[in-house]
Amino acid sequence: MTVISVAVTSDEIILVEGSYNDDNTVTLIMDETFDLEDGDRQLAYVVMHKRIYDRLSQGVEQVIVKASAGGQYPAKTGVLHSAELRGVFLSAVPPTVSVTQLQKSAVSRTFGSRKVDDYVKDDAFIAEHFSGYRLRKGSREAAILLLAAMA
Amino acid sequence: MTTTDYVASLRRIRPIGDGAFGEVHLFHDPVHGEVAGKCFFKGDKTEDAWENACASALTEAKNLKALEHSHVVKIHQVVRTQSDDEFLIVMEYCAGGSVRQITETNRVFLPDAKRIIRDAAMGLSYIHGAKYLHRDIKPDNILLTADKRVKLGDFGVGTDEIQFGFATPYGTALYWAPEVLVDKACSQLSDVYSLGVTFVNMLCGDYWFLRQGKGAVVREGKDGELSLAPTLLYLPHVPITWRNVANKLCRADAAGRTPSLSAVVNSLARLPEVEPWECVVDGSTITWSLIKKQRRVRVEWHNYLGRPNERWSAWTENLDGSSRRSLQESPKGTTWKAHHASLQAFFASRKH
Repeated sequence: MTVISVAVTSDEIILVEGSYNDDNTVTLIMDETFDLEDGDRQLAYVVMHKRIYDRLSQGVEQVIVKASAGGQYPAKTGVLHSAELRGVFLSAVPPTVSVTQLQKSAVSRTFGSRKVDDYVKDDAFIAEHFSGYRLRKGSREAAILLLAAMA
Repeated sequence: MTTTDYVASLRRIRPIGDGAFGEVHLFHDPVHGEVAGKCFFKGDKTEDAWENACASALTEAKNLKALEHSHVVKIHQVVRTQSDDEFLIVMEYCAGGSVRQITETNRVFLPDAKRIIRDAAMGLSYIHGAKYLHRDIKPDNILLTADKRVKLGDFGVGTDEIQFGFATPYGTALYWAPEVLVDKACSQLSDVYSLGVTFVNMLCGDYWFLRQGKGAVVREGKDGELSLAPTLLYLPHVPITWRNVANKLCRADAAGRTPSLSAVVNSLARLPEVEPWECVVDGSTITWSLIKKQRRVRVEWHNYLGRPNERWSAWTENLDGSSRRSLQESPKGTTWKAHHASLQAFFASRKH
């Protein structure tokens, strides 16, 4: 089964594609970034929507997204833009693809006792659980969503 | 059980293109309105050769159907004439013409070039995602609908052989990656290269792109074939970020080229916004024009690239041409390279 996990920032969407192995590890197939166009955000969202729809139309069965969550402090523009772009992403997922949204606080509970940010920094943990396509450091948080959804 | 011969109500209007395969005609269809028909003719082919040609055309049509996408020409149907001497692939008609028709005007408008190449790259990315190649990307095969939406057309995907597209006076080898010319090996990277050369062509217009002499963008080999020069001289208003992206798309060494169509779209997405200069290139003068509120900014470069009395000047004026105010002029007595560099600096220094 091919699954894609997603991390969204205010100006890019990181997609990590992988398939699950029987030994609770993930073989990575792709780690890619979709950059939001410079300039008018409304026009850039239209382009991003098309790109995401195209990408997810080709053999993807499930998508895992880190869910939006309110913070302790009032959200700055960057956070709001991230939420907008996450909305664009969610609306672009084809109806044949199932979507799982995971809260950050719940992500690591399924496979360990530490917080997600600890696992992201742990090279040995990453090497132990992921093989295949070379994972960029900036994509680790998205990749860990794959582990969380597997359990 | 009897069979019924259904008759398609297509009405031929006029020819709109031709190529090695046959011709393309404009038809009227009662449901779709204007449609393009790619016509394959039996001519003096043997029965076997004709059946093979029809099978090949049908494969192309099926491939197009499999690649249905907003930036790929849509296929409607295939039909044969009752006399069985003509086979038609009936497709969406792109009334806005091809990118070649834009480059031929020698009007260069960077925002349009970016949009068209980006949309073509998105279509091509989808094609690659479906494990197909286009194999013949060039300005003639990037089409525009009446409302300027971009569509990739004329696929050679039904065969392992490189298929020639619409006839073009320039020869398509210019758009082929070096590895295609040497090894006849098409790949996703060779499609990237072809799209890159098309981008360069759009950033130059045909005149600047194809001219020979000082700073020529393409050079003619001993065999008469054109290829990209090792260093590309762009029009001076093309920003360095844009030049770098275009250069990386059409790098001769495939290993150093932008690695995928998705990466191409990202590169184009990151291009900074530019001032919407209207640039027109002709044989002796290049002009730029930009409307800013109630004023027009104009730049003219006369006798460009080293001809006698080469000079450029920039000024602002009212929209009716009155109240002219000089902005900058070319330094006197300098080389053509210095003229080009000073103009490049002029455009780069503008804040917008």
